[in-house]
Amino acid sequence: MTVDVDRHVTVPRYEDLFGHMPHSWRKHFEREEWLGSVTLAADHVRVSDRFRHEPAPPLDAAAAGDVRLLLPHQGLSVNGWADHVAAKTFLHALNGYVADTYGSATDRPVVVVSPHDPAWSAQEIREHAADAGAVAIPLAAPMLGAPFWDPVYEACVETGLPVVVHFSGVEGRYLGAPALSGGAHMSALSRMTLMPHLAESGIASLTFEGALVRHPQLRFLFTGFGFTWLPALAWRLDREWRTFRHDVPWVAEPPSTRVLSSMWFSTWPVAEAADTAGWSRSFTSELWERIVFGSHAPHDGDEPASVDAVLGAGTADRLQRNGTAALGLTAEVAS
Amino acid sequence: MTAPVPNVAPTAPEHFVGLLDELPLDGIHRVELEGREIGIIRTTGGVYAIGNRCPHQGAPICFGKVTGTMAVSAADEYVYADDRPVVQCPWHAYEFLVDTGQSVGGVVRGRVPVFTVEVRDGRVYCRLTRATGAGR
Repeated sequence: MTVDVDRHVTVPRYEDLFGHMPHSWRKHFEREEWLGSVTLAADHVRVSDRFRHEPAPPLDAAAAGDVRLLLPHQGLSVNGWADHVAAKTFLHALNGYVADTYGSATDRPVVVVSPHDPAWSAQEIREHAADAGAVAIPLAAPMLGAPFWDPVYEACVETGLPVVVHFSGVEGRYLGAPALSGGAHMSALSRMTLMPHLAESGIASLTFEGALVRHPQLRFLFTGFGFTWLPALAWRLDREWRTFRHDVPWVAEPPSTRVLSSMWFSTWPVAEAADTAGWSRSFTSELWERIVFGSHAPHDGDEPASVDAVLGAGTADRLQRNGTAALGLTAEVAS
Repeated sequence: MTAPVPNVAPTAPEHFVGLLDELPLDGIHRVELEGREIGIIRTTGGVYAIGNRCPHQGAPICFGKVTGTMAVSAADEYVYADDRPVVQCPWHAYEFLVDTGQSVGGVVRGRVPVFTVEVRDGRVYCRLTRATGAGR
């Protein structure tokens, strides 16, 4: 069996969402001016019948005992939307659609919340909590450690849901989404190369800015960013804390301890870790406890078998145990 | 027949290190005692003596500065504490309590050596024995 914390699901046609929004909003989304603009925009979430050039592959059936977090990845792109009200309407419809279409005991939807309205987001989390597996925060200008997110984090702690952090792909390009290091890069290749910076930035913010002091029970899943860079980041977190502890006096322990107690990191893209001799020497057993399997399927996804092939026999079992802990599952559910 | 040697370490010699009024307030007055460089620190709360070596990487900590620091606090709150001054290392700004030599916040193993100081009639004396309490 497998615990997959990063399985993506897609809404094939914008009309599929109409059953989950008021009639007037349907008419708004159907306006040619709106559909035309989002269809023509290169990276924008395309709420149209040209949502994808090819039909989205159907969600394959989970094997017995599997647990999958289903991330409606199109929702993450609202971090590039200028219309924050429309974004909430879209997300609410999307979360409802995914719950109704895909949700089951083993396939657990990830509730995507608004990066513009944390109070609304907290309400959305509570509404879907019973069937959800996690909460995804589209990355936006407020850093993950900022008090801005407190209503969302309170709802996550209250409902026992972990927070998923995953890029949408418009970071570094769309106003509202966070910039990438160095500025606006010209190509998608450059931007994809730099996506792990978003995770590093979020981790630094979470450990230094007090979010995990205010909400010590929070759990974070960083998915799609790889993981081999963790030792260097953990070293730098602790190194800077030793010098600047007085600037963050609420951080009473080396910040890497919060990485090792509150955060997990998915394997995709596991090919990045193929040169195990190059990175594994600095990868402690404590860090290994934080690594979970995330297929990222169907988007150039990894198979569970590829984890063992790249990281060594038995790794998949280890990641399953880690995933069980990350999702707060009982051993019975994940075995 | 020789008399038995008592099992007590001989008292370390006492050294005059300066007049209290002439020591810079919240500064570090460097002196050499028995071949070791020692920093004499005068604060409003007392006088202290430290060795010139940071336990992190051996930096000359007597070239650092004496200051207060932030106490452990709730998120997004600052509580400045200057009742127990610290010496801040000039290399990496690690902080150590001047009265015990302990690392503030436990950020580094080891401690700065601290020595016994006495003030009598406005004169400051130091012995190179481990201080057991606050400065005089």
